[in-house]
Amino acid sequence: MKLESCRKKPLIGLAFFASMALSSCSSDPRIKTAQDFGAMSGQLRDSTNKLADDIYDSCIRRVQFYRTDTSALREVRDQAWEACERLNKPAAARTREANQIAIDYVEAIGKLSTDEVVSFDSQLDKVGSSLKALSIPSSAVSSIGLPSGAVDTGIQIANFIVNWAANRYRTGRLAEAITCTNEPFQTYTKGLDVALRDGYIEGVLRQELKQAQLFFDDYTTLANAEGGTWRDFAGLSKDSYNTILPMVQRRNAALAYLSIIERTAKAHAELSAIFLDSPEPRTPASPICKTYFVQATTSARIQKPFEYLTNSQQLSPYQLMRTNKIIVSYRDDVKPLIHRMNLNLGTK
Amino acid sequence: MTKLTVEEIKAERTSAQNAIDSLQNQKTIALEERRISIATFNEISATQGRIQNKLNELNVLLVERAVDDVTLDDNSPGALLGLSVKRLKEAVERMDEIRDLLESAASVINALNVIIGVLATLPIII
Repeated sequence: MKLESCRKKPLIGLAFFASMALSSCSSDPRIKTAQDFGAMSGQLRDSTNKLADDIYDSCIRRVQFYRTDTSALREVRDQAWEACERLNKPAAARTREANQIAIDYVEAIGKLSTDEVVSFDSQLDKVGSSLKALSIPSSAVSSIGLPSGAVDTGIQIANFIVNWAANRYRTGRLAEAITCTNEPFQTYTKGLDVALRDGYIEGVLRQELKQAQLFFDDYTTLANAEGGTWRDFAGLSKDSYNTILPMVQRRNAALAYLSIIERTAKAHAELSAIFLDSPEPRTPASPICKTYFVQATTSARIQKPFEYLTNSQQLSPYQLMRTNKIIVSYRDDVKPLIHRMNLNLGTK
Repeated sequence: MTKLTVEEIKAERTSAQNAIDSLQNQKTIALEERRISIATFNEISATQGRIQNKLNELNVLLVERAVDDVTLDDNSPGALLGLSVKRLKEAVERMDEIRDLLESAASVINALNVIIGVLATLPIII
């Protein structure tokens, strides 16, 4: 994702355009925060899929720690295996989908915030080239074209106007999205936390660990009862360590992911407060959000791309400071968490 | 299974975990003290395994319930997030349409240039 580039053409002789150009590129710190917010989503997607899939994978790993010494024990093991397919597999798929919704949203915010979305340089350059090539015959032997300087200036003005309008539109749409989606996003991330913390980390993963401990404890007790040697006990101890280590790593990865989700929800709430142009927080029941969340796409809505203009296009120095603080703090907090998660999952 | 709340599921799970731990302690001490046979020890292990299977059901139920709570109905947070993604993608598409429009403008000017060139070759009758 391109975060920093913003091609600014010189606006010769039009001093007032210079200051306006600043607002037409993504110098708006709210946009930069939204960019950073979305930039993390790509790095999260693969790892979160692995964690969701582990609701099933952990179950399969756990099955190997069911003892099979007797027919009753084997029967219980077979039932456990069957349950992995019947219960854990669909639950893993649903959790994966649930994670994806959150990541899709963060990614969509990031996508709309990129500079490329509001860059029309390439297309306007083509219009300029076409205009310069325009040749109107003035006599049987000669023709005249449009003055090159006039074409350049015209294209620069057009570029400014299109970029300015596109940025106003984008800021308005981002403001709508972030302020209207904040409440659902906060509730949603709390739901993900329950599913992954209580259901996966303290549930499925803890059970896998417990099953392995019971397995090794049982064989230690049996070896003791039947006069086992120190080598038997040492071997069991080593095996149990090798078994438990990957589980601890999965747990650490999942905890890092939950911290990322929690931190992202916090950054979203902070961003929402800055985008909001009223003292009252928006909910899905607010009039503007009711329109925003209309199920069917109405043609009237999408045919007017420049209708969404926020009342608070300019940020106060205090808001600027707060926005910059959100960017730095979010990036600094989340990057090491992503690194820790990937490290524990063995992905990087 | 009746529709339990997240807290009820967690309470049942704690109860199952405690039962497994308690059986583990009892059977281990009993075998060490030779009060039970290995066959009995194994029977208790099978009972623990059945509780483990029940425990897995509760864990999965907990995951499902947590996901259901935020995704099931049309106004759920998950559904609203999905709509928001759609709106954001539409906004990006608007920008792409403007880019297409500008591309078309360049093409029209190019075509106009060709037409003017052809017209210039025609004899002018006054």
